[in-house]
Amino acid sequence: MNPLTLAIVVILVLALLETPLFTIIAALSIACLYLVEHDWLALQTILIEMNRLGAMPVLVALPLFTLVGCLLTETRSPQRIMNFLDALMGWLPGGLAMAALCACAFFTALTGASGVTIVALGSVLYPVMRDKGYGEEFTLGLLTTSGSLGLLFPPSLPIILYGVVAQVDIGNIFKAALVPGLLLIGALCVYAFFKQLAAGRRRSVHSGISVKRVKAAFLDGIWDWPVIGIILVGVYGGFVTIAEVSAVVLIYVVVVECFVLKEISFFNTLPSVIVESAVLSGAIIVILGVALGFTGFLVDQQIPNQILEWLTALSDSKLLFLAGLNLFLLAVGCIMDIFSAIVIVVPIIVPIALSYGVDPIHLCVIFLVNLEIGYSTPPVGINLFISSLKFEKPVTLLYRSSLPYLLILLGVLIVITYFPWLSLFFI
Amino acid sequence: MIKAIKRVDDALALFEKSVIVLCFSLLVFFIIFNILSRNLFHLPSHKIFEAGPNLVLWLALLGASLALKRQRHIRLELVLRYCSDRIRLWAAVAVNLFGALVMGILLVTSFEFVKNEIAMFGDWGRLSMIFPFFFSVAAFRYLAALLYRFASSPTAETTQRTKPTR
Repeated sequence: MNPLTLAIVVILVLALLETPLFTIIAALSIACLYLVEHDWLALQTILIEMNRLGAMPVLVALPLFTLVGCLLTETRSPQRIMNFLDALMGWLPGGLAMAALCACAFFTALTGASGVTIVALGSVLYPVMRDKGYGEEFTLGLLTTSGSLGLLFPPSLPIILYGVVAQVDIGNIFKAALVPGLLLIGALCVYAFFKQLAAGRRRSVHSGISVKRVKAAFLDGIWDWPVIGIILVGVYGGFVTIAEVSAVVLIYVVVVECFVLKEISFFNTLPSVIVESAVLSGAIIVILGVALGFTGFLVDQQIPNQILEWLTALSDSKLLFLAGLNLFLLAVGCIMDIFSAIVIVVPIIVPIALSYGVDPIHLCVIFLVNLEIGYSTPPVGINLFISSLKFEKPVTLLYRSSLPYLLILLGVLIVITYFPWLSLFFI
Repeated sequence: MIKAIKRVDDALALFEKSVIVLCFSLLVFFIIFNILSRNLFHLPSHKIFEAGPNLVLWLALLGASLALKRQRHIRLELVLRYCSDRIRLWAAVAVNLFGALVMGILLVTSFEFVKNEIAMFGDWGRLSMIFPFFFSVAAFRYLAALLYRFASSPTAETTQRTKPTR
């Protein structure tokens, strides 16, 4: 075994011992750069690449949107949005479940972290849904799988990071991801509707839509709606950059939450939320920083080309490649968080997929949908463990509960994969 | 000795938190100033445009350093949850020693890097001093975590690990 192989094996063992991922990737970079060139100066590449982050204007949006998500987590905003959606859809069979799906998607789009959605909204939604007669397995499955819905909507942090890493226009990705994102939510809503219809009774206490209740819930969240408006107009309108949208949204949220609704104390709570968001975004960006050097090394050594040659020797069919890619990405989604996966996997798969004729924006949508599903895929999808801890239920029950939802999501994934025009419709 | 290390650790954290709040405020101010100057006065500022991502780099590295203190870094949590406390203890020893070694190597490398940056870009090159700062604090925190583990006196912030990792 040569020294480089030995070093990689040791580093991978340390990764399994839960060494922080940024340290693992930094170590891999050091090993690859030093043991190949035997020159300490080669290690400067890692710092040069990290410093390159300081020349990526689009990266500015990441910490700012993270702060927006952290701020909203501290407020009653998620509950107000949930109340409005419940008033709007709660009277339908499975209406509360549909409202929960939409609320989870909205919240995940803002926070980018499905774990946070399960923890933040799960505590609100689980008792309400159980109280209104929804079955335990149905509720647990819904809250576990919907924790990752929403990663395809603006201002999804993974999409911003994907755009940075793959050098793809972020505005175009948001446009492309809109229909697939709605399709995923729509499919689960249809399932919830028919499942509750088949249960033979309406789970809601309301006999029909109450305009008065909808109006009251809408007015209650009157300060929350502009957040959605600014994001949608900013991202899809193309008047300002993503970084500028994030700053405007942040200022709006700070002013409203600190001075209008007064749910956050400007001097006592805001600084600690800022620090919390810096910890979250720092943990993501530092991985991106150290990985730039490592992926640069992989590209220099033509590793993607070697994988491509090996793959094309097996089959040059685009359809087969996409099937294999989906299986690979589902496995990646099970064991890696989405940010690390984007940083490590995207630079390798993009050139390979391009050579198979896959559109780079369609590839991004496929990538994100796979990782969304991978989060809740047994046996090691992270959402299953977060739900197990949050709701204090055995993880095997979560496996069973999530299964129907996963099958539906996999069906939609196949549609999204093999009908690229669904994603490229607005481009 | 543990108390002294903890005091240093806390003082560093306080400094980092203050700089983070300052960086965030500057970042938002710069972007809003840029939007206004571009749209109202048609004067886009390139200096501000370039300063934004540099502030993000500072923010990210300071945040990452605090994440080490709070044990909030992203990691592959696949195996250790099924292992005994004894195995977890020795895994923590290996991880912290390894982390300190990796950060130490990058710290040494970063000195040369900063020298080159200052030589090339003058005062602007001093912005890269965040690298040796980050790597030295990260190495310190890995070693401190090892000592805390053996002394069984986790810091207040270390025990705050309540939110799930992604």
